[in-house]
Amino acid sequence: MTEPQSYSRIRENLKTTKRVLKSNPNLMLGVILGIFLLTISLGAGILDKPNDPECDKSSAARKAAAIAKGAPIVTVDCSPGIYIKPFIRLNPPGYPNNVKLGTTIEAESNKTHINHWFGTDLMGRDVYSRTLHGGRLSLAVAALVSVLVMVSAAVIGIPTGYFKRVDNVVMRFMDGLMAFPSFLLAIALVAILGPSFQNVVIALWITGIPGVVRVIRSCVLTLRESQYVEAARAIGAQPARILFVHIFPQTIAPIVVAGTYIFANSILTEAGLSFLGTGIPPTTPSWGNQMGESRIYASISAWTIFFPGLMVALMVLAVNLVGDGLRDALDPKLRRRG
Amino acid sequence: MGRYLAQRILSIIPVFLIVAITVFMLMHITPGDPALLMAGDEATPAEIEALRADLGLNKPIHLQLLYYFKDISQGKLGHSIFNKHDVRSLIVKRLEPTLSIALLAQSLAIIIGIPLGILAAWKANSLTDRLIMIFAVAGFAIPSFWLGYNLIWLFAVKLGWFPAIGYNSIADGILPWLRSITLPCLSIGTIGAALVVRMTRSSMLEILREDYIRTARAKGLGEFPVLIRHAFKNAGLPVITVIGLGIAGLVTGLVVTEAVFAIPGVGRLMVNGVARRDFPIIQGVVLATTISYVLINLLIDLSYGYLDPKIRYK
Repeated sequence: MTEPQSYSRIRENLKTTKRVLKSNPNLMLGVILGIFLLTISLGAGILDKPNDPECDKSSAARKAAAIAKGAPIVTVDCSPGIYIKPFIRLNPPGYPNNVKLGTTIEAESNKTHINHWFGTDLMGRDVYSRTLHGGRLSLAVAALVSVLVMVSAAVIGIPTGYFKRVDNVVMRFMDGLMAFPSFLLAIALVAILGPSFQNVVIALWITGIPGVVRVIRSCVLTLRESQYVEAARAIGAQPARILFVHIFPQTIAPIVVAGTYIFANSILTEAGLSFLGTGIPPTTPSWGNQMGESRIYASISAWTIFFPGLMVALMVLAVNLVGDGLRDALDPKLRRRG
Repeated sequence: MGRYLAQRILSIIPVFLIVAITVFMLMHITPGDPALLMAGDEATPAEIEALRADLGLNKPIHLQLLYYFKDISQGKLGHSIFNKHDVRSLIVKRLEPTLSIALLAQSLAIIIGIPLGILAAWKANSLTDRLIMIFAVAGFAIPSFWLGYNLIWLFAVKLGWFPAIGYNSIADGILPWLRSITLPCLSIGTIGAALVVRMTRSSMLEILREDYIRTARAKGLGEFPVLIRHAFKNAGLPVITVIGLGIAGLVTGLVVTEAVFAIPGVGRLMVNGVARRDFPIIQGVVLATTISYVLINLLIDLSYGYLDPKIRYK
């Protein structure tokens, strides 16, 4: 293929994408919301506020405290994003200019909303920063799980649907796994393997596979009987070639759609697991363990749970909208009517 | 019907087998020695050996599996390592709060979900439909425990209408019981309703396009009888399946919501068992829940076959 041709192809693809996005406002909303949440999670290091408690005080208060103690005046860098200096710097909480001069430390700590947009948690940590950073772990789990599930479900599901003899055995096993309420099995698996990032991924991976295998297998069952596959068999194509060249490409659309639902479900399940204390240990913030840590004080400090939970809800909403939109765009047969 | 019944019942035997083997294997996939893990750091070698013998871990694995099958076929689920209580009686004791919440939440989901679904299908593509669908889409995205905390904040902390946490047994009076489970039921039920709305709407939309609906309208029947007697009667079947599908969500909701509202139910038992690494409790709860889940789905399948002869003779 020559250069210009591939360019025109890309242009063609972009056109199609634009058309699909325009015709489906829900998909558009999901994409925008998803990109926004992804950006603030990945850019958490730029957008957060430094966790130095000194930064909660105004520079005047710091100076006064230092003089009272007779200690030398230390300059604390309270500018956001100490590590990465961005071109555009938003003005996050804790930024010295946000605090009016002349207020006392006590008055300031009462007005937590000045320094901490989302308030502080039980250890005085800034909920805003932790919520931004928590997204990274939650999204990493979800991304890893959905890729693992998609790949392994394809590897299991495609041959299962094609070879009748394997089908019976594998599907009985999958039915058995499907019989478990998946959240319960995930808790049990993490409890037994031990709570860690890796084991949460393993638990979600195992509980995610059977549903997707079932989708792929039923898809392959109909493809197997189609005329073009029969034609391929008739000219003597090997099963491996039929599976890979003729059947696999046709299953990509349903796999991707199923993958988005796995992604959304993983975010929710990780949040639930970590909330119960059987997920990712609280040393690294995730949306789930942030809520789990704040559980005991929830009725007096509702904000510590509200914001991470809101992020979970928005992210899952975005992914579900994208999933529904992709399903409608990729497979007109499944299009929701009405 | 007899053949359909036999077929469906036979089909769950392999499911039960695989479920039991998986639950049995849970104990054996631990990294390291399960007896060592359960006994804790301060146990002496003799104590660990005793625990190992107690759990039958010193026998070859195929014998262990056989003993496990024998035990569960007699309804024995072992006993807690932490306090030596019988797991089955622990579960039975904690069934009341869990079942009250489960039944009420599921009824709430149906009571909210079906009328909204019918309304959305009837007014398809209108503003009402959009608003109902926003509710349905949001219901899929919101973690039920998060909704639970927001409800506590609003109805218990700010308004003081309901107790924030705790459970009052039904034996102590209907009203305190109802008050204590209202918020948990709301937080699970509204999320369950989202699924019911979606399913009712899509199956109603399909039916409303049928010729006999047009006939019913043409002969001058009012909208209400058309919707209920002609349309919903036929759209209702897929909705029954939703109840089965909703149970997985219900289990998730129960486990986390019992933690939110400090309700001493089966979910709490499980979470406490997890915290103490009490393997027999974890295994017992998972097995009991899964088997009830499979049986409920079987009942739903059977009722489906009973209500719709087309399925019976497939």
